[in-house]
Amino acid sequence: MDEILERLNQAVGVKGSVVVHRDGVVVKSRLGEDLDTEEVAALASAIIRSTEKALEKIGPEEFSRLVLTATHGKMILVNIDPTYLVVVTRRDINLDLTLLEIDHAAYKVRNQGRIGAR
Amino acid sequence: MGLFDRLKQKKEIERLEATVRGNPSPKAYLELSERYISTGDIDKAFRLVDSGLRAFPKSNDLLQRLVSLRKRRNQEEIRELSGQIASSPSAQAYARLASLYREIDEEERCLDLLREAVDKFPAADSPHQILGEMRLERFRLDHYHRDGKLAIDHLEKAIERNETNYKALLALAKLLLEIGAVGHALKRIREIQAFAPSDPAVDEVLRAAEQCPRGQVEDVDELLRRVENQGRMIFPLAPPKDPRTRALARAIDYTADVEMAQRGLEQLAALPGFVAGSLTGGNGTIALHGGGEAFGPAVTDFVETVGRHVRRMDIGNLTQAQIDGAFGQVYLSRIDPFVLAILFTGTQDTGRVWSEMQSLFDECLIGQATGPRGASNEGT
Repeated sequence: MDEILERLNQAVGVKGSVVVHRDGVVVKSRLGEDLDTEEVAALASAIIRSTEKALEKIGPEEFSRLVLTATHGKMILVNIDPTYLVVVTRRDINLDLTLLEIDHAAYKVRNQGRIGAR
Repeated sequence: MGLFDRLKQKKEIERLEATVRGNPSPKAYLELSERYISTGDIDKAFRLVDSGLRAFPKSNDLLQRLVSLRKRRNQEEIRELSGQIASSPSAQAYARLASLYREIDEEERCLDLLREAVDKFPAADSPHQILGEMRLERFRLDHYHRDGKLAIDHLEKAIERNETNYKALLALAKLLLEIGAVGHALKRIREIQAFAPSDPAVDEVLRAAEQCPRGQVEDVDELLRRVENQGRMIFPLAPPKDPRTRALARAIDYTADVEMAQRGLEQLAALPGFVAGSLTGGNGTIALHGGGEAFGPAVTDFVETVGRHVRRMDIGNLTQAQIDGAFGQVYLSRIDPFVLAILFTGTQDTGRVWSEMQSLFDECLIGQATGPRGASNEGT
């Protein structure tokens, strides 16, 4: 999983990535210097729960991917049940290309989990 | 270019100039600016687009044109400084190059350069000064405690390294005054007066400080938290700048045309897979199409809670969100205090959806450039 996240972090504009459980427990982290792992994990967990709570008012609660764009960066959360891949990027990335890299990394992490479970 | 072509170009420019004067629109400004660019007059194109953006502050096309013109104007100096940094780096070159990138909204590149400068030249004041100014700009917009704290930290570091750094001292004095730390602000003002005794900008801040009541609390951390909780400065001095560009020197207050918003949502409903759409504002749902009453409040909850968490990530204010799931997709776009949200079944052409949402905002939000926010009617 280290290698998967390292490779993802080499994508243009990615500041760091982390795999967390829904409750914020960190599975694996490769975050840049400016990002605190515990803080990112806790906030990711809060975002996941807030999003599910908002979604339950309009129907199904689970999401597969969440892309948040802010004034100074982006955050992408991908559901790789039972964990989430969380990626923090710069604001000015080519989102389509970066999402391809993220989806690919998520696929590999998910499959690695399945192989480990056998 | 031959004489005939030059005459043709001249006539075309005159025609477009008449259109901009008589029937202005973002498209007219853009077309004329392209003509100016084709004649090589980048400065004229820049001034034109700048005035176009003041007339049409919501036009993203004009905004992008302005940023690209700024890049072109700065390109030569950026090239020279990059070469200088590669061969014989200096703190001044780093600071100047970082400032140029900041001017053209390449904030990440600016931050990278400043971090390099801080590492390579630990005794230099200018990188800390610029970092402080950037954090201060964010703090003035978002009022987030962390930005205010980092602004103060960096500006103080700049001053420690150079006690006559006028810009850092003045920025810090203003910030301390705005958060209500009047005593601390006066101390910094006196430090400037020690080497610049009759500076008009300093005198202005001093006059403002003398009119502010001294509070019982002068703990800077506590005052920063108070500003965050209240969502405004205690004694505001300057209007917040739009984070999208430094071209806009005035704050923009938006109001929504309810009828246009409703019509816009009905048009969006024609998109395949549309289930529900809402436009919410400070006081609740403004327009709704499909989805039932729960949709608007669900969107508001999401923006408030997730927006708060996003700010703590130090990536600024939430502007857009896309939620994908087995249910379909939710697209959410925000121009404070308004939030436009659309729920679709299935997967959409993302680019088209964002473009349609921006068009709805363009049509139904009316922007008014304003002066300093709440300067006359906000007390402690």
